Amino acid sequence: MASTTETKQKKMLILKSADNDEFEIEESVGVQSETIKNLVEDGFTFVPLPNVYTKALIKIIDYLKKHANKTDSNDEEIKTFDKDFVNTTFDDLFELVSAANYLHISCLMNMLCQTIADRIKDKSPEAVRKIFHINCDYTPEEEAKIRKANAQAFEGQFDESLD
Amino acid sequence: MILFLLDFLNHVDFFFSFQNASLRRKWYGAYSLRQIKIRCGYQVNVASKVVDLLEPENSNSNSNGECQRTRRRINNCLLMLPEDCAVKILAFTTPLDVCRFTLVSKSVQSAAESDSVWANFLPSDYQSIISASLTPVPDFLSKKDLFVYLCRNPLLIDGGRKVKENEIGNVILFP
Repeated sequence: MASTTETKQKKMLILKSADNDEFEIEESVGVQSETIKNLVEDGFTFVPLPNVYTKALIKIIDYLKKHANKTDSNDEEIKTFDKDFVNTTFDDLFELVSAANYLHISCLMNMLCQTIADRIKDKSPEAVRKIFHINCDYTPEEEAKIRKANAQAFEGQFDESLD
Repeated sequence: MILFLLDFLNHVDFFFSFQNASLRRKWYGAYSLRQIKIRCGYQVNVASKVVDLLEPENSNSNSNGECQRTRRRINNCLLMLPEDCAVKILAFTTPLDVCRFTLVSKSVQSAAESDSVWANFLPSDYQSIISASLTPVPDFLSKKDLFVYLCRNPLLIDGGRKVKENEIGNVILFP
């Protein structure tokens, strides 16, 4: 439907974050997100995103714009951009993951999950708990049981740092 | 259906922003911004400045509510991540890491034992390897159990001329 009425003028979308800030972006940039694409196909141009906060949305729009202009020549530039993009704190990464998951942007999702996985590899369970802000809900007996069942996974020294 | 869903989401959104509504009106008055509408081009830079401008105000006059909201968001980081996000992250680590992270909490345990995590550690054609193998492999309810079994029991494949070992499995042996 939308593709038949193609005009010179770029179609714009308005995204509204959970903090009620509004952003105007080109449709071609927005449709990289499956969630937005589905709404656009249903004829929406105003997209409320009640699960995405402004801080994450600004970064994600930045990412989408960069990747919308992907050509063979700027491959290196995008790689550098991606590297900088994920070079942030764990809390920011978690916020971005939940936003990317909600928006269904699979390439961003893979990149973020890979980054988080690389950074928590070889860490101790205690460090992971602190990073993810999780309280341990095991009883000491349950904990001992798990340690015993996975004894090999607990051999050696683990990384206790939180970054 | 979608319309209904959107409408519902809007209501939820309004509900959460309701307590800040009068305050919001105050800021917008002060900065004469009825709506922060940012044109494309340099929207990103402008937007972060606008947010910076608004946030100090925000923390002075509504420090309690805002702090609580931030705290709630941080405390629930992983809980707020749907389980498939946690599964995705775990799938990018290694079998040993996943076993160790089981100890983090019960919610992580359920993600760490899910089949979608362990399917990543098995060879993608494992079903045809198993069915072509001379060694009978019992049925397992979970892929983790299958993985552990294959670590301890290499398969005879190719008419018994070759032994298929679980590549990653060689490092992981359970008691």
